[in-house]
Amino acid sequence: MSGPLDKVLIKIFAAGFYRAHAGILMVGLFVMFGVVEPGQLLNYHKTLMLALVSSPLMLLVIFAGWLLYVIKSWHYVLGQIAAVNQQFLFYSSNAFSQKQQLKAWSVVQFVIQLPVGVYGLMAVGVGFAHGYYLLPVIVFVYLLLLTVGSAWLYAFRIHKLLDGSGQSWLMKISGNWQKPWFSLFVYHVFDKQKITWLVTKGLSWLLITGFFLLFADVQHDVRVAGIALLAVATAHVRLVFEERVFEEKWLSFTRNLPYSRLQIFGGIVLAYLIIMFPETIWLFSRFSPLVALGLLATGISTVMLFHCLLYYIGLDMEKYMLRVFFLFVLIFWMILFKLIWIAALLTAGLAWLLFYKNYYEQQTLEGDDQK
Amino acid sequence: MLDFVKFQKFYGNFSALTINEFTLPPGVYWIKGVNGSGKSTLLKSVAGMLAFNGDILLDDAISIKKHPVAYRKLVNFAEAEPLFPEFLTGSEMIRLFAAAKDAPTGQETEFINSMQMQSYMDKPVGTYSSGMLKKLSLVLAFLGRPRLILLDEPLITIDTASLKILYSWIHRLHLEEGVSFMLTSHQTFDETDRLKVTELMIDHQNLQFSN
Repeated sequence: MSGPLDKVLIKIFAAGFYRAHAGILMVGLFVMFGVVEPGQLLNYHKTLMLALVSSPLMLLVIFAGWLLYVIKSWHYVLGQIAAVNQQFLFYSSNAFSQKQQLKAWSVVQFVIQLPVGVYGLMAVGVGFAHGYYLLPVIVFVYLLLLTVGSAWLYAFRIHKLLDGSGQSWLMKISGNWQKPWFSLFVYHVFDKQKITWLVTKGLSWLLITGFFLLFADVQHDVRVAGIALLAVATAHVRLVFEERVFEEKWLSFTRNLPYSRLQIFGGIVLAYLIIMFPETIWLFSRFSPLVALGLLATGISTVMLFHCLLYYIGLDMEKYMLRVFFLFVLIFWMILFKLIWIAALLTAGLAWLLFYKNYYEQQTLEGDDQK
Repeated sequence: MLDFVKFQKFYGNFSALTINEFTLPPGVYWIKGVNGSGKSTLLKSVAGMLAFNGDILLDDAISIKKHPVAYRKLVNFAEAEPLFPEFLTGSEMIRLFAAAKDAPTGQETEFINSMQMQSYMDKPVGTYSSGMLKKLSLVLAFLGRPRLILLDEPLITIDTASLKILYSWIHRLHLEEGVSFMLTSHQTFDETDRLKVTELMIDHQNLQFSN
């Protein structure tokens, strides 16, 4: 099970996948196990698994869900294979026999699919125990197909030679536009983070619609909008983290440019204003201009706080998620107690303070390798 | 030209470089030291890219900590292995730096032409070879009206013809405009009788003149 290739690939791709998706997986776990009353948990999942292995319709729905998960993993792994850091695979992993490569990639995909696989296999067991045979076998075959199919896709990709760097459509049409410093964050999103951006906007839309359905009776309370916006800002953490990684790796030269801290801070605010443009439209179409402006400022200052927090703690996803969670709870309570405008001022102030204190003080990624 | 005041650079608890009091008069400096001795750390600190304790003063008056913007107008830097956003073209990088460093209009043209970079200036940086990227970063370091230019490993990856051109730029800026240089390299510099290169040595986490 553990040849040298398996180990390296698991370390790069499977571990990387979990690191990159820690937040969303936590939410998934919470939805699966946290929302059910603890006493009912076992029965609830047993019923769910039985439904899965007895009803073809349920089976199709869950298969579709698993497929989405697997497509997400393809997106991640294929993206990583193309990354510069992994280019050595093109002249090392290829030297293993086809069989070994396929096996190694299958192991990687198996590990990536563990949350789906474990649940699926348990359902198969439950099905057999209750006298269902056909659908459990189909579940098993489906999981196997997903694993081996994905492995084949990855191995195939590694054998296709690199074609240099393709340019996204936005880069082509924006050809000779002026590109001021702040816009680089926006271009980066539309060049390399399109999917993350789309998923974030989809999530935003779901959150907003959800909140206003849930609180239909108090729709005009500004607190509902405030909490929806806080949730929307929190949905942006993945994107914010990516922007900081981009800034640290590709814009490190900025620290040698004669920009004042205020200019840089303002630039990042502008970038997020553009990134959150869809939410802005929603705000102004729904609220009076003054309230919309206030809510927008709240949203942007929360996102800026999430951004600037990273100057302080460094690019550490685990530490980051914990602090984001803490801040979320804090701001949530402030909004609930009608302190939304104070919360907005405080988050903006704290963001600026964190930025001012840490912008030139942080350890850079490269600084750590002691060249 | 450059004063170090109680300069200390730590990586965690490990002291990487300590320069208590040290003054560099105007000149061209070649910083030597084995791998990992802290050459890049020194240049990145002087460029304002790495955090450190203490202070660095340019021309006795401009402090990197107290006058961050003014200092960075006057100190330019080319990294050993530059990284620029891959979707930007060479021209866009030049425009960004020229605007930031207040470069006179058209200043870059001569640099670009002499290094024969015209053909790929409008292509995205992501398609550049490491030599092309290196040349671009060198041009960026010469933009504006710097007092000090820091070049980290400027001799690696560029071809021999470009090397000669780089030397000529250094000559000209130093002799005609009095610009100082700090360079690191494992190769020997091509010293001519017109340009005096002073050697500096980093040893035991300390910077000193080597004899």
